[in-house]
Amino acid sequence: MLDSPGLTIAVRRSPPNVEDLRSIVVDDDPIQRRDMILIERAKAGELDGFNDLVTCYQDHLFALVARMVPDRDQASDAVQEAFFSAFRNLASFRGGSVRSWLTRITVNAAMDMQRAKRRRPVQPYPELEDDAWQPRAGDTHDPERIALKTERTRAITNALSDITADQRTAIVLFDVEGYDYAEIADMTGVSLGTVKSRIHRGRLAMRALLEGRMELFRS
Amino acid sequence: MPDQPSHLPERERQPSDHDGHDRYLIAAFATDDLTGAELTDATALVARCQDCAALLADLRSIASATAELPVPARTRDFRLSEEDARRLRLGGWRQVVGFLAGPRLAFAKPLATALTTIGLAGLLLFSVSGFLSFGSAGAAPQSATGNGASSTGSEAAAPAARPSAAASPAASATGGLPQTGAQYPAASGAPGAPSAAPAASVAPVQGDRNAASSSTSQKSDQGQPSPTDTATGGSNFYSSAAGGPPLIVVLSTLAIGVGLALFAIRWGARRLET
Repeated sequence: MLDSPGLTIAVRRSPPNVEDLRSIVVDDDPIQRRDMILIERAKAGELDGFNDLVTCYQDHLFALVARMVPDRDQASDAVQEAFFSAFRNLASFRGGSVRSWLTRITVNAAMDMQRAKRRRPVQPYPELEDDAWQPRAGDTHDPERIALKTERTRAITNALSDITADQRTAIVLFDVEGYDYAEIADMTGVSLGTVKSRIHRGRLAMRALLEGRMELFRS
Repeated sequence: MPDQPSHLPERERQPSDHDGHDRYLIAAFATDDLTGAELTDATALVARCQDCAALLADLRSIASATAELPVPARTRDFRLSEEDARRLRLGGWRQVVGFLAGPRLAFAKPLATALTTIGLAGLLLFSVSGFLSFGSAGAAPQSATGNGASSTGSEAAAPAARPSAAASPAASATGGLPQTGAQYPAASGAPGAPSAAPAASVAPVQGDRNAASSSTSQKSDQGQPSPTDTATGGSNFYSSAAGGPPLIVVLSTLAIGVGLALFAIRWGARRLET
């Protein structure tokens, strides 16, 4: 068996170069290629290059932080601080996904903001009271369904604001943003088990908070 | 998926059973995290408990409703102005501040915590050991050789030394406290006070160890260093021969100082950076 030709080939084959594979993947992704060009321009001192990057990601990052931080002003401050931090640390960017890099910085800024200002806002998620929250595309115009959806949204956001900040962050990153456990662990600097625990306990806590309103979600 | 367990027998739907069920297991089941035995257990639990099945359905509903939350609209433009960029560009002292506050020195805080804790523990240990040996010296006088906790002199010399230690308040006090022998002549065998050395030389029973001990004590009396100085009147972890602070105090203070300095540097750098 040791003399089989397959084994000989396997032994002789040199191990794949991880750096080379990553660069191939990066080049195949037009968004990543665009981001890398903008990063290089920003590193070269072009403020416009960095601002183009901000334009690309500010909506996404604000939406992320606005769900993590139940206060619009705090969320805005966290996103602004994240972009400041990204600009300061441009030199430390070592490649990989620019989106993940920015998201990690923003999540850390939001978590720092929540630790620094643990005060509870009088009206969490005030966006629900005005037109700043935009309904998803494809929503029906049936008034009853719209009313039900609004009630669901209100109940979920209130429950989200009442669980711990760590649980909220994990749930938003997992359920809303769609990151997997490993990515969330990397962003938040905790272990995989802690991420799972926060998500599970956070959902149980939300269920307990929504105890009397679960019919909204069962229909 | 048994989300609709209405077909279950009524006798198996007892709410009292549900209180003892593992809700965390159901939560993990709701996110499809389980494998192997846990998956089997959770499936069985959901199949036989109506409340667990309802919990599973609720958790999945909450997860999907959370994913469908509306997108909050941005209310500010986060692009940087020229002034922001000029302020944020690192140069000179800001570069140093950026490094000190940066992620590369993220270990500074836990290190500072550890050093400060070790320093405080060292000082506490020093205080407690001094207090305990002071108490033991008062209760049972030991050899008057500066460090009551150490085995100074020979076993034969110890009884002979006890009367002198008990007779001399200075000796008994220094036997308990971790002070230097040089500061307390009565304890170090200096002239003017009866010491352990002469007592040891007239001890009725003398073996090899006694002889060695006596000669050691005599050498100490002559001001020459000896191997047992570190355990008697010389410098050791709890005392110092030169009249300075004991080694443990020096090291503990150093650890606390370095720890607090790290705290201050990191905190100050982060404040300056923002």
